[in-house]
Amino acid sequence: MRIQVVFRYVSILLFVLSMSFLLPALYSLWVADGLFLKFLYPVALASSLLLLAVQIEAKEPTVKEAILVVVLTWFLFPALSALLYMETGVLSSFPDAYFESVSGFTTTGASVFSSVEWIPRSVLLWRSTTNWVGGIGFVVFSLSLLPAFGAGGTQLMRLEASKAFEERVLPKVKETARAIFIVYILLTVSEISLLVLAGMSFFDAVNHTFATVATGGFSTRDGSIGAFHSPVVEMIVVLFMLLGAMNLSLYYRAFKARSLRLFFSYYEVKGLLGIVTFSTVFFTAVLLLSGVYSNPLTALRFAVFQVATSATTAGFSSTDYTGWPPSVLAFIMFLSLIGASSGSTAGGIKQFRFIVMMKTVYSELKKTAHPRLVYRVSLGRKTLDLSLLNTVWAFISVYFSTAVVFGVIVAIFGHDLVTSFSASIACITSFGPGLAKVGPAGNFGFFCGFVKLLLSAEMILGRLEVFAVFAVLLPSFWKE
Amino acid sequence: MKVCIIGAGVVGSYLAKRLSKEDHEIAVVDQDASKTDQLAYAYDIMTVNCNALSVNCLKNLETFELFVVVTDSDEKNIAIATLLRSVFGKGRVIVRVSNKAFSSPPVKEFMGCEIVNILSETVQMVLSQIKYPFALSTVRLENEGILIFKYLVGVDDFLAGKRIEELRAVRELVGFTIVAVEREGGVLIPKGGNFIYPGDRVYIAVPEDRVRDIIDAFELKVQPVKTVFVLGYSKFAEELLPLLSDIKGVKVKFFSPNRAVCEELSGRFPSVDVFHGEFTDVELLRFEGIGASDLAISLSEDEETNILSSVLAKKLGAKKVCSLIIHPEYENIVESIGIDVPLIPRKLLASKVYRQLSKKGFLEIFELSESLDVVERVVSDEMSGKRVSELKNDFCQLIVAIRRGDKTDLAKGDTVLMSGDTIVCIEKRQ
Repeated sequence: MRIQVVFRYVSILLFVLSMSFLLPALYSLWVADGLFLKFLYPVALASSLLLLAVQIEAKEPTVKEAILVVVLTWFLFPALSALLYMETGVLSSFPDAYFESVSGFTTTGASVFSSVEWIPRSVLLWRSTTNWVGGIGFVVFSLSLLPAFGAGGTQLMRLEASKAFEERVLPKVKETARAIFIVYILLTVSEISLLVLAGMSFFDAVNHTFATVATGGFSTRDGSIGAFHSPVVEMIVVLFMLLGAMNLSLYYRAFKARSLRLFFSYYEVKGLLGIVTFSTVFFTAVLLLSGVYSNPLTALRFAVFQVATSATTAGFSSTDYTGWPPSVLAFIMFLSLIGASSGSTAGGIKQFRFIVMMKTVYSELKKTAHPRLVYRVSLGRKTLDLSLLNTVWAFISVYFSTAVVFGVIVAIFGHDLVTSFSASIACITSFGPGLAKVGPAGNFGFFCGFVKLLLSAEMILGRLEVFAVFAVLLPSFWKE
Repeated sequence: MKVCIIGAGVVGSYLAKRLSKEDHEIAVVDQDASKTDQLAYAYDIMTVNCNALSVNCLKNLETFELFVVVTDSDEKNIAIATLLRSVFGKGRVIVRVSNKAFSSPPVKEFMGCEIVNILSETVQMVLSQIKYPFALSTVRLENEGILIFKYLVGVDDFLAGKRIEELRAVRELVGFTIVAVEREGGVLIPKGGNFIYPGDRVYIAVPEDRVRDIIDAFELKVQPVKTVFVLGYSKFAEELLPLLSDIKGVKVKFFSPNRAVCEELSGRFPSVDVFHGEFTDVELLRFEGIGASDLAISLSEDEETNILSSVLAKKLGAKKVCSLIIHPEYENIVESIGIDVPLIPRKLLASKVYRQLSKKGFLEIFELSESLDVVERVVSDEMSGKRVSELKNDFCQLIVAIRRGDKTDLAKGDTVLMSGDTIVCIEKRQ
């Protein structure tokens, strides 16, 4: 382990990422709210680190070093952002500020604020920007902005975007990152335009777009998307949550091949759309039959929104669903656990793992009746070899045990089981709102500082797909 | 004609024997003298033992007109054909391959010779068993859109006991021709007065789009194929499985004693149930429901295993069994031991060779059975203006169909031939 190499890469990443502070800084300068300089402090801190780092000779990181670089960056950059929340005075304690930052970058959208409407608008813009930057991922963001990074980027990018197979869209990793970034920007620009057309103010449109395409869920209103009371806005947000929850490089490939079929025949797209359709029908039926809504169209409107926001782990809300029947509430948690496509901005265990899980379970059940059956699991046209299958199952078990263990720890601090476990699930899946006290009308502010830091760590675990972070904790990781 | 056969494998030897009996001058080339010795001893065949990939070896054969390249490797076949075409300028070369890529039109055009893919042809035979489950075998005349199928007449069938003339009413309605009747090992080309008896195997030609009507008119027994057992793995299975697994409504179960093969195939064909086990494992076959299966296809590399496992499958209750047969010598016995559809990959190759040999100007030739061919030929000026019923037997024993322009019709007695028509004839081999 060459600490200097790790330091060099972490500093470079932190510096590039700190460029994102410039957006709210410029806004602050424009509206002259007197916060301009506060946005520059984190940039100055990152720059001074960079000045030290550039003295170090550039060397390719090894796999271990790459893992450490990514993990450290994900733990450190939120701290820079926490600094801002504390400097501007919107939050006073570090755990609160750190939780809010991590929640933003991991696109969780869980908040410690009970109301956001009093916060200065430039800080609100920063809050949405954390969603947007975290959604595409720190590495992809940095790689596409940096003029040169070296081949080490490959290692870093692999850790951030989970994929069943290594699928390079373009031969160079930097080009790949740029292609993904361009797709991301195009999605962003289109949503802003549509929201403005639908009657939203430009500021709200930008903020909500950042939180939508990143499937983050931060809002500038206390009532989230529901505050706009506009079915059109809701449907636009649904559309872009789903678009953001697809594999971003798939858009590029479909565009290259000029083929919509390539897009819609992709197994994760089919899986996600299938689940969304099925759940919408289920939600609508339950909401109607249980008498929550009497108008089928109203039921459909809220069902579609809630299904999309859960399945894509965005965590927006168009209405307070606390009073909905428990069957639907349980389903919401289930949807967020499955999550969306690999290589997207969303969380959860991801569609491909869910598909592998279902296929293996189905085949094993079939094997009970036909003992001599031989089966293999395939995704799309590719067959998974056994080691890949093991990886998927190991991931699923670690992921779920982590969710359970964190849920238990939260419960030890004296919170009720529904709150504890739904908070744990909401954090690891990057969904955001949970149930009961952390439901859509509640927030995470009442947890003590330790629990907030714990949940912050859980959010990063979920975003980096567990393995990378736990690998760092292995003793063998540190042995030469 | 002087025919040179390169490769004395099963197909090469078979062709050599058959052609030498028909008075062609035959040379067989193979590096392995033990393979050619027997041929030279028993038949009037010249044998050459040298490596056909060397120019010196091929130089000895420069006087030959037609080359049939049938060594056991695709790459070798293609390489030999390249030599023959480029160095020796031979125009009439027939190459056998089993890789689809080599038999694609661009390769054919580039090589400028006939490239025959025996795999796809054999696989088509299996698929037609699923598409036309009432037929024992089928031949499709692609240019004319006509299907000739072989049907076993049962005791209580509509056709049983009928005179051909009596079917005239149906013929007016649907349009078909009974082109041949196989009875007690012999074949006859029927006349109006002939009877059809139970146990006969009749060959019926019908336009492809009217197959449904003929099923209704003749009350043919159709049992749709729903479950297919594929026993064993070979390059034929490799070719068949992708096509088979694409057919909707057909459940495919694959068996192989080779674990690695099972694992690979189960990954590639998720809709196919793959089982690891011997074909002789009666318990396994029974447990997986071979008794209720509609078709069992034995496709392993070893043809003796294929024949035996087919017989076993039949005994366990499979409705119809197919078996891959490589040695043509087995062809005559397999039907008598209960194998319904023997898959014999040499047929296509033989027909291509015959087309090259024929002096009669065949356009295309298909083999219906051991002694029956379907040939296509063009009507000459002197034949023009004659009625079908006036034609002599030596020109064409039975005219099935006539293509004029883009349109094909089944021939009737009073149809007048015109110069430039293409006719489809049935020929009985002497």
